[in-house]
Amino acid sequence: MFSPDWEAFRQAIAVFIVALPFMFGVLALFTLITMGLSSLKEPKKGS
Amino acid sequence: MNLLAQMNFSDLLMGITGLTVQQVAVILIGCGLIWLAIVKQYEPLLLAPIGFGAILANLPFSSAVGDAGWLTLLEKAGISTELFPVLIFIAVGAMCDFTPLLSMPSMMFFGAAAQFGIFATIIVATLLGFPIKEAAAIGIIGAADGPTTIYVSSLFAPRLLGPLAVCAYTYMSLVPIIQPPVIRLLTTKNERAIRMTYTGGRPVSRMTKIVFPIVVTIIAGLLVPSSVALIGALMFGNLIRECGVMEKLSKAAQNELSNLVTLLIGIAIGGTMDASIFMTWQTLGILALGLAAFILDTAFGVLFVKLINLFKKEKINPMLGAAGISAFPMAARIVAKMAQEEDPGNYLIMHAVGANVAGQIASIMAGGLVLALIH
Repeated sequence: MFSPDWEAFRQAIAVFIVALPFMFGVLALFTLITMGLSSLKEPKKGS
Repeated sequence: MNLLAQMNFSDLLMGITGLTVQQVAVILIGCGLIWLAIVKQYEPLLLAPIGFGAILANLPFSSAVGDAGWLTLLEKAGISTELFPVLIFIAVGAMCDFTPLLSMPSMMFFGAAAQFGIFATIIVATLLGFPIKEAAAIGIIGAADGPTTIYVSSLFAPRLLGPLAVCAYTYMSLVPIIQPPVIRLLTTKNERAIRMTYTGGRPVSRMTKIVFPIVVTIIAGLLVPSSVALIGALMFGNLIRECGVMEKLSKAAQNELSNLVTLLIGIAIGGTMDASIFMTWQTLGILALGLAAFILDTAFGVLFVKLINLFKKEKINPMLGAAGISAFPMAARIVAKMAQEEDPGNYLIMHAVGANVAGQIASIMAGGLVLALIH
């Protein structure tokens, strides 16, 4: 215990490099979608 | 006399003679959690059942655990199957109002930035010798999101579920103690006093509130399929709330479902706190790393806003970055309170809530990504 697991460390670095930009990308997409959705109006009654 | 001679009186004392030092320690920890819940009122709905479950699981020869034990049965039925965390998310979704986020969509980025600590902690955990899956489950504590922690842990590190869940919920309850010093360390008094005018943002129609959970579920499902179970449950709960035609179900999800599952999940987690697993150096490592994850999330949330401020004419209060963690609504409350401490006329609550609900979505996305990327 408490001695580095270098193989796991390499995987963790790879996850870090891939996951963070991907997550920002997905949330940027959500932001755009949310901005688009914000313009949705209430449906007119009776139409 | 013969009958008395046939009886094994030592069986009557086996509970006392079988008690180990480690079991006594976990029973004391269980009592400590109950004390924190009742006296200090830190996450009482969770810490009290967890504490009591820990006591039940560590009494020698306890019939509450083991093949026929009801705590083990609950653990197998609700946690190993990931059912309880998913049900909790339906309840959370029904309680969550996304209006502040929908009126200020850019807050979504603050939610993303505040997940940095998860990935940084995974790296540190591997340096301490944890295998990658256990390191990932430890890093997810930084999501400040109990159900996501339980969900990922039950898949990646079922052996460590007890310590991980206790760590996640304890630190969530300690957010008012953990976050302020980190925020103060990284911001100046003037930065904390930056006023953010809330003009009410964009008006949010009912149609927007109904379409939002459906669209988010579909997009998240297409991009990160492993997040569907959690984000789908969260958004389904929110749809029930916002659609306006399922009032009874919405109230049932917010009250009965939430209360019942919280009770069961708490005591089932307590039941996994077996002394032989809990009283190890690994648990101490998990506690230290969990704290590091919370601190790093807060720090990077704040630093992200400060980075954005370098390019913006109209400055954003950097404390909003700290509200991007998923601990709802504690993180938002702390930021709003700290802003008012610097300037009593500074009302950050709506912005902070926007960042905080964004953190809910971002933490699930982070959990889904971890599940997708690590095999």
